[in-house]
Order: sequence, then C-alpha cells, then structure tokens
Amino acid sequence: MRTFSRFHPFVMLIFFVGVIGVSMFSMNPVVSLMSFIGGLLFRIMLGEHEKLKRELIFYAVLGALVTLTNPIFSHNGETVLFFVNDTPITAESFAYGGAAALMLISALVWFGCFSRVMTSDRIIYLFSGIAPSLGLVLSSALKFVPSMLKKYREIHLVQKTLMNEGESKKSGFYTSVRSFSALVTWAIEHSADASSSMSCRGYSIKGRTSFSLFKFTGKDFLLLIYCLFSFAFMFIVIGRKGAAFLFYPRLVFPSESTGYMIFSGMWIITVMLPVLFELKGELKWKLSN
Amino acid sequence: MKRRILAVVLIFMTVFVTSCSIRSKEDYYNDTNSEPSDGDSVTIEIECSQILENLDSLEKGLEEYIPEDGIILKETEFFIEENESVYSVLKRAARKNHIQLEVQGSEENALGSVYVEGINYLYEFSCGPQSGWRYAVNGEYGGVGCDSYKLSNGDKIEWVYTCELEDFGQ
Repeated sequence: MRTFSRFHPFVMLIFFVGVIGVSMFSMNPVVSLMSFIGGLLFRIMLGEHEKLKRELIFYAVLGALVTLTNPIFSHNGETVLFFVNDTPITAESFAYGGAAALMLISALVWFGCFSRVMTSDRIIYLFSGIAPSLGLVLSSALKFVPSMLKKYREIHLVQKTLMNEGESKKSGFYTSVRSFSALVTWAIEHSADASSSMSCRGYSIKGRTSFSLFKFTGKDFLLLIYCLFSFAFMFIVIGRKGAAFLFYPRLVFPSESTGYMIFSGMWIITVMLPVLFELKGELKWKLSN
Repeated sequence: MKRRILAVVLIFMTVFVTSCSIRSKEDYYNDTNSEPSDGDSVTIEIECSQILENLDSLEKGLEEYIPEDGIILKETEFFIEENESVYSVLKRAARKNHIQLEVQGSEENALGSVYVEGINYLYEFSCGPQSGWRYAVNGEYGGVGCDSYKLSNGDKIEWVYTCELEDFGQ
C-alpha cells in the first residue's frame, strides 16, 4: 500500500517543497487547478475521508470569501459589471480573486498530504543531521495541534457530563471556557514534561543518532533527479514570467511558447506522480492477493 | 442560536446593500446632469508621454493602453462651481470621457487626502518603481492633495504620468 511514503524522506521533502512552491508562485489558475486535482486525488488515497469532507467544506467557504473580497479592494479591469457608490466592480478582479483562492486551496491540500505522509520520525530523521533542535521543534509543533484538539474533546466531554441536565446555554458557554482553560494548563504542563523527558533521553546532546529504516535506493535517486530537473526548469519559466496570467486590465493567457508547453506537461506529470505511485502499489497488492 | 446569528447577518447585509447605490455601467457614465453649465471654467489635460520614452520598464500587457501621442485626454474646458477641487474636476472629466479611474480615498491612506492610483489602467508603479500620477496647475506642481487644491477661474490642470520621481517639485 502506501507506495509513495516508501520513498526516502529527503526526496519526499524536495517533492513537496517543489510542488507547493510552484503552486504558490505560478499565479496561473490552470496550474493551480491541476495542482488541486493532483493533490486532492492523493489526499483521497491517504484516507480519513470524514475529515477530508469537513476540510473541503472549509476550502469552499474560504475560496468563496477570497473571491468575493478581492473586488472590494481592487477596482482595476476593463469589464465593469456595475458601479457601487461610483466605484467600479470588475470581472477581472473577480477572476483574480478566484485564481488566488484556487492557489491558496491547492497549497492547503498539498500541505494536508504533506502532514500525513511526512511523519514525525521522517522529520526528525531529516533534520537530525543539520539542525536537531529545529527538527524536534517542527515535529512537536506538527504533532501539537491534533493532539491538543483531541485533548480538548476529552476534557469537554467530561465537563459536559458534570453539567446538570437542562442547564442554560450560558453555563454551556462557561463549560467551554473551563475546558479551554484546562486545555491550556495541560498543554503547558505537557510541553514542559515532554521537553524535560526528552532532554533526559539525550536529545539535546550533540552526535546523538536515531534509529531509522530509511534507505536511499536507485528509485529514490531517479525521482530526486526528476524533481531537481523539473522544478529547476519550472522555476526558471516562472521567473521569466513565461507561465504568468495577466489579470489587469484584461485577462491575457500566457503565450503558447515551447517553454510553457513543456512546463504544463511536466507539471501534470509531477502533480500526478504520488497518485500514480499509489495506484501502482494498490494494483500490486490486489494482484498478489 | 444559529438562526439568530443568521438573522443578524442577513439584517446587516440588507442594511449594507441598501446603503450602497448600485448602478450599471451605462447609468454611471450617462449621469452628468449635475454639471454646471456656465460660470468660471478651467481646463484639464491628462497625458502619459513620459511612458513613451520608458517603454522598457512598462509592465507587460499595458502597451495598448498608451495613446500614440501619449495624450489620454486633450485639453478640455470644464465649468466649475465655487471652491471645486482638482480631484472633483478629474472625476468629472473621467466620467464624461469614459476614462477608467481608481483612487484611494482620503480615509484610506496616511496622507489624509485623495491619492490617484491609476488612470486609464495605468497605475502607480506600472512603469518602474518611481512611476505614478501627479498634477500641475498652471504648470506648477501642487504641494497638496488633489482634493484640497481649490481651483479658480482660468486654471489649467495637467495630470502627468511620471516615470521618475526625481523631478518632483519642479
């Protein structure tokens, strides 16, 4: 199963940094859309569908908000839809807002995949060589939010059972406040505990190694070469504005130069890579059974 | 609880929407009834010929918005009311000639006065880091915001797109 996460953490890091970087800097809705589709398919394969549903609703609301707020601040653009208090509201500013929303959402989806695939042992492994404390901070920070949410649910459940039946909504609010206060206390105590426990285990000592099963194989090497080559190429295209949409004053698509064509092809392959690997793994698993 | 929140949001939105005047493009551009038709007059000209000398630094996609001679609005006469400002005449001129105009209101910036961001899709910083719009009355660049400069009979307003701010105050 989980074929993509069998790659070496370093290669995965490069891959994610590249994909998220290109999605964020291209400012091209077509690129963002491809990135969103690839990321979403990968995210679906990683499971936790209930959570994904909630996330998608959040993304939809966020996207609508970004799209609708842009015309309030930006009035550039040729196609005036109507005037509000003598200020033009233009189709171009809606388009720009939509593109920004798509870019934001695609980056968020990829971050969701990243946090599921890059487990804390991988992050610690990656950073233990160059910056051990940074790796520790990163991995505990990534772990911190979900564990805090879990703890909050626990505390809140207990607090709710302590509340008498039929108590007013006001006391319901107080229950939430009490739970939150307990959560903060727990979080501070927990982090202090964890840090002293870790320093007892020698995490702060220089030269401490940690056990890992990650091996850099030929496959990793191939993927790394592909990533380095394609991301270098894509960032050069982006740097020369070869893939940029012009939004103001009128929408202008990037010219269909050879560079942009190669860029698009490479980008489709790149964002689909994790899904392809997962599919291949799934197929193998099915066939072997 | 949820219903109450929804109701409050809806009320706010209706108040907000009804307090705005929403007009179509045609209605906006055809609404020139309140123009004074006689009395004191000034002339206004909008030009961006400096860009023609600095086409290299112009943002991509804007070339087509620069007239060949650099003059967006040739010198035109406008009748003014008493104490009318440069900004108000610019707004009227833009509306009458269907020229796009975007400004930052006096409450939106630290200057405390209206700041003209873009005319005819040419914005500040569109042609290099020191580019933008400024105005001169009778050949003199004013030291005040365009909504504070009060006009008098026979004044000659020029809106000039500058690519280098160095000659500011000439």
